[in-house]
Amino acid sequence: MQREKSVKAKEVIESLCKLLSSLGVECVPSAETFRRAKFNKDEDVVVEFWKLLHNVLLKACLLECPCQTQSDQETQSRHVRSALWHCGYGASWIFGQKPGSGGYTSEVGSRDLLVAFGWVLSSQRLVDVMLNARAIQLDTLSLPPVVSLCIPKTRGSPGAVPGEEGPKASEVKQSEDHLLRRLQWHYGKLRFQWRSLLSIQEERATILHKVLSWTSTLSTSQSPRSAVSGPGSAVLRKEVERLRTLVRLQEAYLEWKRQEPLFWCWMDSVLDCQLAEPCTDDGAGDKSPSSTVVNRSCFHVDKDTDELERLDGQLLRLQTGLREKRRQLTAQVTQLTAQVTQLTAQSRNVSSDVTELKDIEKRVAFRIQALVESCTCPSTSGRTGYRPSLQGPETLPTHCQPSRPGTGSSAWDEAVPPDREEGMIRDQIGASSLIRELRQREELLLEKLTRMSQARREEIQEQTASRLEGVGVVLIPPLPLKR
Amino acid sequence: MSVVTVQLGQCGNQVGQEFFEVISNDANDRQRKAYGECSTEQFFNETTNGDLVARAVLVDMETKVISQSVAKAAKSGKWRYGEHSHFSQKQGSGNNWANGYCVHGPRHEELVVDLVRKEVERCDRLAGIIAMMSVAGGTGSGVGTYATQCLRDTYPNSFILNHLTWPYGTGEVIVQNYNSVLTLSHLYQLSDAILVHENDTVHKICAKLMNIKQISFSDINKVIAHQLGSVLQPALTGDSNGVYNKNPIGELMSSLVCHPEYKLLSVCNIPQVSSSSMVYSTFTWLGLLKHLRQMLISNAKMEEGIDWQVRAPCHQSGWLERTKSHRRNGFNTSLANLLILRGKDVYNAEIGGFQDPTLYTSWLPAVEAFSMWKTPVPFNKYEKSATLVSNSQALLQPLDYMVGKAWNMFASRAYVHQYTKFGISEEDFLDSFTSLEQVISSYSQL
Repeated sequence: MQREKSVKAKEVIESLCKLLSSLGVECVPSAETFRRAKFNKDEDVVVEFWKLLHNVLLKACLLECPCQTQSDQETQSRHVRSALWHCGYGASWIFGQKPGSGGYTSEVGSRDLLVAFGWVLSSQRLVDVMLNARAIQLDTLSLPPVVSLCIPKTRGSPGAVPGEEGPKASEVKQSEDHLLRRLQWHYGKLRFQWRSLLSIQEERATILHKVLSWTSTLSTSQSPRSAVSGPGSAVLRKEVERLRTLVRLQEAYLEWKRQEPLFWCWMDSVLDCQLAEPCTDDGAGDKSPSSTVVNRSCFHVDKDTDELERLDGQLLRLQTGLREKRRQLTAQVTQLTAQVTQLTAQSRNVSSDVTELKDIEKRVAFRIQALVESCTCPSTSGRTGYRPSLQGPETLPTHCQPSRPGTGSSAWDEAVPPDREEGMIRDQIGASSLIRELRQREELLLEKLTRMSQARREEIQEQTASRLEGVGVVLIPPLPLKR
Repeated sequence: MSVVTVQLGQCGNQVGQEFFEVISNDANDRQRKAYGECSTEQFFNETTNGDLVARAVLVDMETKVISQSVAKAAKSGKWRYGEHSHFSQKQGSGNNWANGYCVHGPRHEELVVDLVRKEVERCDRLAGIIAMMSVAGGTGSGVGTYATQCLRDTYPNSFILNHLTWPYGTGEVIVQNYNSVLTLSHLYQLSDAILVHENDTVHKICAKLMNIKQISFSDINKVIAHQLGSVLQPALTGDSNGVYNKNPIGELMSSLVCHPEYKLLSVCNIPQVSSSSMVYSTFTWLGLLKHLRQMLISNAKMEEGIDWQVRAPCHQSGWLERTKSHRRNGFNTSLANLLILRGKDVYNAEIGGFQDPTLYTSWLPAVEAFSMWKTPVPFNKYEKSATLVSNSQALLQPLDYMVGKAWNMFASRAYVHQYTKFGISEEDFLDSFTSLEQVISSYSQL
């Protein structure tokens, strides 16, 4: 049972190899190589599989690249990795290595390559694509040729834009319809030309036949093989060879299609082997294929990736620029708001300063007045020598302090000398205590005034009473004035 | 390189005979060696005696017309029909398409196809098959359609050009519209191109331009043959690299009928003058081409009575408005045009007017739609002649008229039993109407 299965697998893989070689893929490994690749042991198998993948991907992906003929393994593996990544195969070994580290082709097992090959075969419809291309090469008459549709921007063509505004939706749809009709026209034209070509070929065939029949009748003595030789027959032989190749290709394809399910069963076993082994995870952290693998595979591909990178960079720059601008704007806004608050605070400060100033002025005027009164009033008892200060007891204008006796430079100092003479320096007194003292003094003086005025009144009353008693008049004193 | 002509029915045989007459006269005229050789190679087979035998097969259900044609050809002395290249019966088709298509056609299919095959084998290279017929009668239309079908099956890759003669609108045959509708709908699928001549138009040409008092069918046939000849005679095309084109039919088709929905071709030829006044007339290319262009635009078929008021739409308007405006003015939009100039000073002719993109439909640029052939050799005694083969809306109106009349008759099921008794059912009628409506709508939307 096991042997039958393995024999079947071998047959299947052989048919695949036959098909691949008919399709023109170079360096197709044998079925034995496939079997050995499954076990992930041999080195030369790895090399063969790299070559196979490279050739197959070249054909399938149709990379228009002049560096196809490079046989360097390094570049081959790079190409293969980039092509696989482009096709969407994301195994870890594709972008594990950095270029130039020397270990590009090593550390990738043959089984990994086999699995990659299987993936490409199934997902990219590899065989069908290659078959189409090859069949068109061999049999130009059967398949419809490709029509290249160039749309000149003339007035009467659907590519032109009518008027200044762009085409609207209905016009766009109609222009698609027009393009389709134009395509049908071209296709019909091509078919007519193909039919002309066919009739020309038929004519050539009849003429060749005539020529051959003439030459054969002329040279009846010679062997028939030489009669067939000549330029016309060479062409015919080429034609026959071409047709034979095509037939072989198609037979190989049919055979492969018949046996394809068995191949996938065998691939399942390969995958089982792979999953059974502990997986080696290298470079799990760094999964940035765009930077490591894809860039330097091929300078033609580079152009596209460079473009992409440039666009990416531009986008990033624009984004950061935008963020910067936004940040600047917000900073400016906050600044302005801060300034505004500052200004409002300042204005408030200013107003409070103004009220303060006003208070101070009032106090100063009051004190000045009081001092002036105290200075001009002669009977001021309890004349205390003080030095009123506006600010408080700490600060003193120094020039006021040492005032010599006899020098009355300022009104302030006049109060000082008698103290000085008496040798008494009074402490400075604050404004409120000054007011209190002055009020007290005022009260005292007012009392004294009232007493003295009362005393005088009584005196005058006695005097008048005594004088009038001599005369015989009685004095009734007026009522005292109510304050 | 060689063209095989199949002449079907009375009209087809008569037109064919006149056609070969014109060709042989033109080819043998003076010492234009290359031209003459090319022409005779295309249409005639040279026997070992030096006789020219026309590459033609004559098919009819009556013997009268064929024998007349053969006799006429032999009488000319320059060419003749092959002795065995004709097929006829005794009965006729009774102007019944169904009779021709369902009865006579299958019955004599093998013989007819065999005749054609023999003719084809005499050619080195088959440049195409021309089937000439009318659509009004029974044999030409019915047997002709069946024959075309057989030829299409036998030669799937050859070019088949059907030359149809449409009847007078006032009608010679009562059921001509039925026959026409059935023929056209079938031929549209089988044939590569359908070249149409209308009896009405040719009659007018004969009357007005050629001043023929009593117009007979032979005059009409002569005009038709002249126009056909001016199309098919050797010419220098763009692809022929300085020698006469060996593949006129193929070139014609790849220039004009590449789109499968648009196969109707009409022919305009100027000048058309009577032979007596030809000596006194001189023409200039400028005048001829100007007239021809206006004939194309205004859908006139001859130089007289051209409506010069019809103008091509101007460039500035968007193409949507353009399609509306020119339909109002009676403007004839072309899909493709082929201009064939024959005569002296042909290289000085100014053909810029035909390359105007406003003449053509919007989806095909003028560069691809217009082609030109030139021959420095005069044709059929005309010093200068210009022919325009046009795939345009010119035939839209007559077709519409024809289908309309046929439908009116069908709506009342008039004469339908004559067809159903031979095997054409009403569904076949309806299918034919549908396909022709499709053709009409395709052309209307150009």
